[in-house]
Amino acid sequence: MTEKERPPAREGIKLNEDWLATIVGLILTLVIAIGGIASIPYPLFKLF
Amino acid sequence: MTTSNPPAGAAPQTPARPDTRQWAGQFVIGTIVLILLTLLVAELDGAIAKAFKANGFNSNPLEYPLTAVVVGLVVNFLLRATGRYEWIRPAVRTEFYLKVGLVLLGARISFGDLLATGAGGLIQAVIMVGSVFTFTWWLGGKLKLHDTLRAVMASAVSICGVSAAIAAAGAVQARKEEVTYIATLVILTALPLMLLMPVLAGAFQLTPTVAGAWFGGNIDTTAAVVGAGTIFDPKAQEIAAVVKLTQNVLIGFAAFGLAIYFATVVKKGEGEARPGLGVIWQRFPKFVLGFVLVSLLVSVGLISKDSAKVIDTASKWLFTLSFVCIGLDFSLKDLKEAGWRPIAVYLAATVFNTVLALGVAYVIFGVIFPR
Repeated sequence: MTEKERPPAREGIKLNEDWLATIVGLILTLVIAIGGIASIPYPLFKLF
Repeated sequence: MTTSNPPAGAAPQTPARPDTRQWAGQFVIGTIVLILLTLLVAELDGAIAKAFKANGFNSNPLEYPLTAVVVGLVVNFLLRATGRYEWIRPAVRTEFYLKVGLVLLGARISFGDLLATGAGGLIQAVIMVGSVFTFTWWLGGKLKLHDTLRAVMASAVSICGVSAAIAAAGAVQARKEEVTYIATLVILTALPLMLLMPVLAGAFQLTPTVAGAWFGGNIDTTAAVVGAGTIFDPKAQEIAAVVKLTQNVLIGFAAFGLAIYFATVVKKGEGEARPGLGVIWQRFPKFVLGFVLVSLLVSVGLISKDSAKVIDTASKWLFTLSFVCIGLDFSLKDLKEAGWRPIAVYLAATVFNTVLALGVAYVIFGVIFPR
């Protein structure tokens, strides 16, 4: 197979950045809400 | 370490391409650097606040968005000067961190407030986007800017900066250089506005609601809108974010309108396909749905008030990451080749936007929907 005939390399699944941000945001929300992080004295969250 | 051939019959193993591995390495290094810088900002913010308090100030006038941008700018300069900027580039994702932070910010805003602010914000957004887009398009035409550059610029200055520029560029098939150029102008004007507008809002004695609506209606990048709101007042931050998100929702409609206009008027006879309504959904900022959902979950009590507070603090961390990235992302390189006319149009449009947004925000959030 010559260079020209070779199919383009697979780029993998491309997830829209908006959807990715939404999913990450919702996962963080659920982890904090269900994981009860509010009751854990987590010093990093108190810096600001 | 030894290398061996794959067993007979086994599929040949394809090693990860060197550039993919390199990208992953840079991403990991960049992420670690960003986390360390964000912690540094938090420590600096605390130290600055203490220093001001010791000198008789009740609050820290240098809020964390400014500290974060300055830290980002300094590290940006150092990395570029030593040729190490590429080491962190893959992790510099200003928009992504901001969008996750905005989803989490939903925890602070009750659904009722969201609807009330969103209603006023929508009226303001329609007036602002319509007026500022028309003004920029008209002035760009007077100064003989190329149609695609006018479209990208008018969308960026009237809707929401870089995201709108990208959406418009897709709709009108603008050149990549035009988008990069506008993106640089957006950042270049948003940074001074982020610092200057809270000072002006204080001088004009605006209420946090009107000030937030002004920031949200005027500053082009959502990150700088949130930054200006944070510097002024927590309530102003909420209002600014909601007003800006409402404006962001119009991206899809603007992209659809531009695509139709270019296909039927500007590029008529070039065989351009007429775009479908799908463009509106395709360009819709989906993270707004996450923001609304989190607000709803807190409002109906599925997420406790204590958890909501922690989620809100987590959003601050993500905003800080985003502000550090604004400083890291900044580059003047792309402005050099474009000449003075696009800069003149952009600056004139920004002044027009600033003055008009103040009037519209005052009438809508100070007179019609006073809060």
